[in-house]
Amino acid sequence: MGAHDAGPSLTPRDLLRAVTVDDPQVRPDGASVVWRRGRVDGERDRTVSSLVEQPLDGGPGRVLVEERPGLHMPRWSPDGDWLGFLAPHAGAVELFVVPAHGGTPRQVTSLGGSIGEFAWSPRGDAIALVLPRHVGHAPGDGWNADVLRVTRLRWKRDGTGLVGDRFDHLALVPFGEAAEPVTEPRWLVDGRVDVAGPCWSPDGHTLAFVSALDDPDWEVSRRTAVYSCDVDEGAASPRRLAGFADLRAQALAWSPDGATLALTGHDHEGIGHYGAQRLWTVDARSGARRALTDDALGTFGNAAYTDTGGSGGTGPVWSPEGDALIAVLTSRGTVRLVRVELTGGVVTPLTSPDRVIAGFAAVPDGRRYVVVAQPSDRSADLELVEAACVGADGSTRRLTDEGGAVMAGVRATRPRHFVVDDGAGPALDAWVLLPAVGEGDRVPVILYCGGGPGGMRSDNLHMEWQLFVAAGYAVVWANTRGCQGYGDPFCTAILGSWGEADFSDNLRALDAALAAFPALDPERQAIAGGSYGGFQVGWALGATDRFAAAVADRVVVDKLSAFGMSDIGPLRAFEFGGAAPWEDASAYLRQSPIDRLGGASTPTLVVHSAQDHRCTVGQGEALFASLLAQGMETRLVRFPNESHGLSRGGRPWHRVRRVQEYLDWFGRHLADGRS
Amino acid sequence: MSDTRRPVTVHDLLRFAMADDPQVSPDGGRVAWVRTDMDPESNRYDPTIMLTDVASGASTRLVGGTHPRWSPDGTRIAFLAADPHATPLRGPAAAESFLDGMPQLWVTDAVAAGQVRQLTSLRGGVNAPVWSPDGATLAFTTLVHPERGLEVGAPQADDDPYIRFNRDVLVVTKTRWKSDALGLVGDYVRQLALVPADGSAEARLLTSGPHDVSSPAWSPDGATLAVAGNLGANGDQERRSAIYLVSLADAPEGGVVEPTALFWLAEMRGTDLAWSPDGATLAVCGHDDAPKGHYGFQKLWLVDVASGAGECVSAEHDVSLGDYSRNQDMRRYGGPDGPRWLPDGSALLVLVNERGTVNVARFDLGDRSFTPVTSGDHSVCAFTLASDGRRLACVIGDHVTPGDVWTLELGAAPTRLSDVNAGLRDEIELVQPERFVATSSGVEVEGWVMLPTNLAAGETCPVILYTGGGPGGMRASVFTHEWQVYAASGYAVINCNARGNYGYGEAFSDATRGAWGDLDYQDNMAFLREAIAAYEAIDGERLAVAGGSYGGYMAGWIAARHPEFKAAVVDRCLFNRYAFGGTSDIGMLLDHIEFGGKNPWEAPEEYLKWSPISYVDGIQTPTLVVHSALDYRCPIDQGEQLYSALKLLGVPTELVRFPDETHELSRAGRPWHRIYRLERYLEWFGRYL
Repeated sequence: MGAHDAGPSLTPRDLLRAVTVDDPQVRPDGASVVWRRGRVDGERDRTVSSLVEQPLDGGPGRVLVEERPGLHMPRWSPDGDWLGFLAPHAGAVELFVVPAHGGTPRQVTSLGGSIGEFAWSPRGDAIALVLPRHVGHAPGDGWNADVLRVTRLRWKRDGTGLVGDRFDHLALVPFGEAAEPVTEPRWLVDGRVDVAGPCWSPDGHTLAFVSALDDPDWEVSRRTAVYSCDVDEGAASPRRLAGFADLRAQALAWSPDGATLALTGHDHEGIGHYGAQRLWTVDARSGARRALTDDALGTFGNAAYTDTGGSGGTGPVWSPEGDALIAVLTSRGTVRLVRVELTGGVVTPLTSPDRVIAGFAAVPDGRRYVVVAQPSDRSADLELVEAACVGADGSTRRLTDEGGAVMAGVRATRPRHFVVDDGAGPALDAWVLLPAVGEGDRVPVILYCGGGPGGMRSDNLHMEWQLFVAAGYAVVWANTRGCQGYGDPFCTAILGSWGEADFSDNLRALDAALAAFPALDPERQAIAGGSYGGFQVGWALGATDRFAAAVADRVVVDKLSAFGMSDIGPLRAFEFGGAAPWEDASAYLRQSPIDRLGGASTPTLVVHSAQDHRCTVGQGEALFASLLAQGMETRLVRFPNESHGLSRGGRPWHRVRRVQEYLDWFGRHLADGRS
Repeated sequence: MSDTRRPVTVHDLLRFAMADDPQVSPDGGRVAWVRTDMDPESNRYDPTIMLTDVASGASTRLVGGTHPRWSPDGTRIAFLAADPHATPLRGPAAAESFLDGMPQLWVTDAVAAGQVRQLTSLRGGVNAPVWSPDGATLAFTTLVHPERGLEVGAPQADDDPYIRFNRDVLVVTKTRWKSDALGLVGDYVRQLALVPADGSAEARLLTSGPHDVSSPAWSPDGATLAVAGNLGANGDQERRSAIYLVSLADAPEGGVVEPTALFWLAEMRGTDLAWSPDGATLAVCGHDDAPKGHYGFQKLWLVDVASGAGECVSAEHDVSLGDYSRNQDMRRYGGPDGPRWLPDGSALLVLVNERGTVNVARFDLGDRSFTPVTSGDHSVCAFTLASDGRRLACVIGDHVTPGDVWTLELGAAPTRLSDVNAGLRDEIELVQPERFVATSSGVEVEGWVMLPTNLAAGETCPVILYTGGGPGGMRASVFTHEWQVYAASGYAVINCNARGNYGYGEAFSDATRGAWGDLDYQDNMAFLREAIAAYEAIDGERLAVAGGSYGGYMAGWIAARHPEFKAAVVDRCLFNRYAFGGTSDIGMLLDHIEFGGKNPWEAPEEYLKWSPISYVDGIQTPTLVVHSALDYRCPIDQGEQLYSALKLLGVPTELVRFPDETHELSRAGRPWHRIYRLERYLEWFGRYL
């Protein structure tokens, strides 16, 4: 069963062709943009990155920092003379700089830890870092250095690994002409707290950051706050400016006059990540805060993740006049760059809805923006957006030409958007990818349940789905209740009741697709999904026998146990009326597919990563064991040394193998229809 | 006598030697056995096969290895050892990396410094080697992947990066794919294999069924091998096992044989299948009362080979057979503990568990009675019998002796053949626990009280209630370095055979089925209360509770109900039984016994009712949570759930996570990790008591 397109067809190995276009940073003089170029080194099963500088006027790019594994976070010094970046070195992650005109990178730090992020002081003589520091029992020595003694709650972090009793602290290192790397930072924060998102005031005297310095129960409560801290020696301890129920860490921005901070977050207790991120301003002295937008607009940031491409900062960024904020807004199936006026709150889109804006950087002139644009037929490229005055929808010019590589010369299948409007619930945005099909032929259809909750789907390129289409399967997905971008009530509709509205919406979308697209074969339906999407698959197994095949990936199926296993499990009580599992087991069981698998009959592939700290591997193992105990056809594929992010950022050949497993499973169970 | 000796220390752990696997030679003149020492420099255990002359008592070192097995003519010894030159699979840890370092089969002349020949080079390793009666062949079991057959020599590297970089991906299609002992075995199955003892040919596979076979035993005429297993389609989802016969005459040239099921039991102790000398009968231990599962006593069954008819010949005796002594931490693997026929076929020798002791007994087939062969307040963990049925070699341990090799002629007293810890015994003063009996809801509960050494008159000490593992098993007179350390550090240590344990009749054992935390909990608390009342030196205000595995369950269960405890340690625990069956290497087999055959989703309230996580908000006691990352018996997320809960509840707690360790850490983990674990316990007790 292959695609009917003439010419070459995509195979999972083509995933290795993808080029990542990521993290654009405009040079302070506005002449160029530096970005991270990632590609796969198949011979060594790893990704390598280089830093490329692209003139904004359209001239050719050049490599500023040669390829190496793990290189990331390019950031210009304020004077534009240096480009700083992070890279692995001797088992740690250290800060390096390269002169703006090119040359050999110089190692700035030798701190021996994993620097998480850094920010140049506007005065150019110091750099703020977030650096983990051990606060707790001294580790064992010799043969016992590998034993973890943990006293904090958030001791493991999916993707990062086993943090143990390390806390992310804020520190300063000097920057100058000194040749020797700095070996000791000046710590600005101490204690059992994590800090994130350091952001300098324009005068270089103050750092704003996100933390929870004065809440001893912060690890449990989720509440964080914006703090400001004078960096001069002998300054007072950090001041708390404003607290929020949900605050995005890497989204602080000082106004040009240094009087105001902008950020994204919300302060609606009890809804966590189901609440839309609003834009706020916070007075940098008094902490007085004001919301500029409400949830009906959508959520700020990019919620439409994909498996291929790149991303970048999503704002907010101040206009040079200080009268508006520019940011990425996720709304109603689209992700666009928008401008929000501080006075009056008028929101103006700066990009068209036909590509997802996964990140951007502002050109200092305030008229242009470099965006990471994800269209539906290519992976991400940088585009230059020329924004005219308020009211115009800017035009764009592609700055890079990397997005075609992954499709290997094969024309992408473009999603067709449709609206689910059956009266059985709210109207839903949905899409279908249809393989080219002959007259009268029908194709199997895969209902793909997206991750989340609080994610949102659009039509940006997903390589995994293009591979399914290349193999002859249609793919359907929808923005079900529980997605962001449609206001808080639409997202919170599933709070405390996973498996009801959201599952119903998934089936509504599939039924609507079957009705609208006669090429979809109702006798050959499959369901697949990862994480929260994997929950949907688990739920489906116990709810229906309509599917001939299922793939349950990085699932959560036992929420009662996940509470104490997941890295964010203990934070989930708000989804159960504030109760812990020992206080209300039935609330957890009610939302656990593992508890309602009786009668399941769909052949199910279970995929899981061994070092998934978000939805731990025991969840997938338990699903597999339960299906096997009921005599069902099932298969467990367990990837070692991989996290919850395998499908997007795992080892390259594992990613290929994973999609191949999907295709083999579909091939085995969708060939001849339901038995 | 004890004046000049010093108390034991944590670091003394490294200095104890262990004795295992006493194999008397066919003529009864020598005993081959395994001495294991710990090497602090390499953080490893070094096993050595020793040869001891019975008459003179002189011992020599034969070769590094384990599982010495005399050839029937006594001239050679087969044994297991890793191939020092085997190359592991390179690249990211392969899914089969659990196979790296698997033991191979070797043969040496049964004299010191004889020629050593390597017989196998199998990726799947070698287990349970047995000589054919004519000494020409060795049978054994080995791990085999259904798609790959016997894998000989170094693994192939692959040129295709898709294959090379995905070798670490584990694909599982069957129920039993995890093994705490071995690792993530995936679809590997334990099969029966043969190899010529003279090394003249490679090993060949005899079986290729869907599930494991174990315990190969040759018929006296060498024509048949008996094995234990369950080769039905759902064999790995069932507890019942059968004795299978593999007829070598049926084996096509180099091909495999389909085993024939001879006799089924609901529970079969597959470690020792014993052919009668005339080859007409097979003896095995087990029971056929399926619902009782691991609570039912292992009794002696005789199976007629021709007809397959079986009878439980020891049914009238309320004792369980085989070595079930637990809580020792200075023993490597014990050795053979199954029934042995006397040459005239009139009786069998077995190990009997009674009231915290394990002894050899003779079971007469005529009057179906037991007669003690050894006796004493100790544990015989393994024994073998010479060909003439008169000389026996065994390993005996007790509260102050990890284990030594002894020998006896039937009817006479044992004589000591090894004294592996003689030097330490002269240097260190150990505590001899006192037996104590309490009454719990009308039932006698027996256990032990260890008082700290050097307690001055009138001084009192804190007390640690140590809840034992299980269920099934028996707290016994065995050496536990860990408890000696606590006693030497000034703590009284108390443990008992609460209901659920062997040694006090089957009804006593079965009393906790489906109800962990009812009678077993009451028994532990009654024992503690009465011991506190009986021993003035014990300060009843300074209480700690600690336990591992099922004992960790119990420690958490107790802590949730008794805030008066000042400290708790929950080690390798089972805390959430709803999540257990799908993630443990024993799968749902334990659950089905405990919950009447119901799966977790069929009785969630019941599973959660008998789960300490449901009561975790009752814990106020500072609790140390210890767990191994590669514990596949009680997966580490069990301990993580407890730790997270205590953090949320604001209870002082700490999680100690050992990478690269299994459920066996406390008794078989890397030596320095074991030391670190004891230091954490002591530090916790010191902080809160």
